Amino acid sequence: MNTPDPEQELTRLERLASILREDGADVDAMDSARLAQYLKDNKVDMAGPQKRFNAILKKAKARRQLELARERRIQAGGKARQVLAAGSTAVEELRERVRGMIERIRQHHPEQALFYAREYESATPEDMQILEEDLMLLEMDHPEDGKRDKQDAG
Amino acid sequence: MDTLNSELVEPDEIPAQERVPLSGEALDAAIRAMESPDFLSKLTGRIMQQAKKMGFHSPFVDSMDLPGGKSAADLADDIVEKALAGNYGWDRQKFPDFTNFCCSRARSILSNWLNRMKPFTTTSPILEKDPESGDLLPNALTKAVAAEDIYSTLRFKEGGAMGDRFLEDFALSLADGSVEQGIVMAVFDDRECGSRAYCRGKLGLSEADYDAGVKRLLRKLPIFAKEWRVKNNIGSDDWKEAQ
Repeated sequence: MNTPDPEQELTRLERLASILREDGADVDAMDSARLAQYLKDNKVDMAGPQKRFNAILKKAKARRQLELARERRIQAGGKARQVLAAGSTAVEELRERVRGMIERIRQHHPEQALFYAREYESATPEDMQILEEDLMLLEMDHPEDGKRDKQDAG
Repeated sequence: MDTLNSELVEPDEIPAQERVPLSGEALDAAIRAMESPDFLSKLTGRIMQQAKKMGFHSPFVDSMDLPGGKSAADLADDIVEKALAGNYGWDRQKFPDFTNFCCSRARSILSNWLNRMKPFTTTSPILEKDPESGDLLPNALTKAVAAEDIYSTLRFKEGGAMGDRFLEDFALSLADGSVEQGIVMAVFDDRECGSRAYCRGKLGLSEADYDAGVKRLLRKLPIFAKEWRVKNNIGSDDWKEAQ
């Protein structure tokens, strides 16, 4: 990032702008407070972009968690086939269980729950089984949420 | 005035139909980087410094907004979002670090913007291949609207020649033999003089004298530009005539 691009030669005026604004600051070496002050001195408002960044990160994490849960589901194997073999009542019960799990997630992680709710809406019975297993694994990843639910209920 | 807009498909972006969002280890690595302390602030700071180095920070106005009013932090968000969505091919051999990869994209976006703007004074529309559809489209510059700021006009008008004339006149307006005149002349004559260390060394100035000269230049430039613009009748019409 610091090496000049030979093909990107600056005009004379741009060279002047460059040296007049160059501050020689080492952003990577700054602690949080100095960095915040540095950006403020340069009139960069971080509030809005930071909020947007947090949402981007949350979405990326949700996507990765889903990926991981799917990987583990493949290893866990054949439950879906058993449910399908048990008939439509079993499928309805499964849908209810998944709905309940999404509802529990919504209480602590509303954006994540929204992501799963979208999956739920378009899920086939087979997808539903996969979703249940993904969500079960997610609940195992966040046991503190479940504990909080029980404490809240108590 | 063309906007530095990362919604624009950059020439080196992957076509929409071939994009694969980051997944697996690559997504893990990106998330780890994004969770590191001050990720966004550091990326923003580095983009800002890169933009300054490429002459994006106007010497006439104390605002670090990029063309179109986008801030370095907005651009950082855009890049991260696009990187995760697979708009760019993240070569992890070349850029093991996600932050460095994002910085390389910022540099590319800024360079592309400059490349789009530099041939502003062409008399016939330049046709560019649209990376999405493959169609030949007129260069966005032919649709450019009047520039609000003198810096944009001086940078791109006549391929930078107007900026040169401005700089000559400015140097002549400064006291002969002054530090400020020395800096402007050095920048004018020596293409290496785009870095503080080099310029200071060339002029044999102490840090204090150099910094004081820079401050005086930043004070004088906007005042001189205002007078120069009126004297030379530089207005929005000049910008429009190239359309």
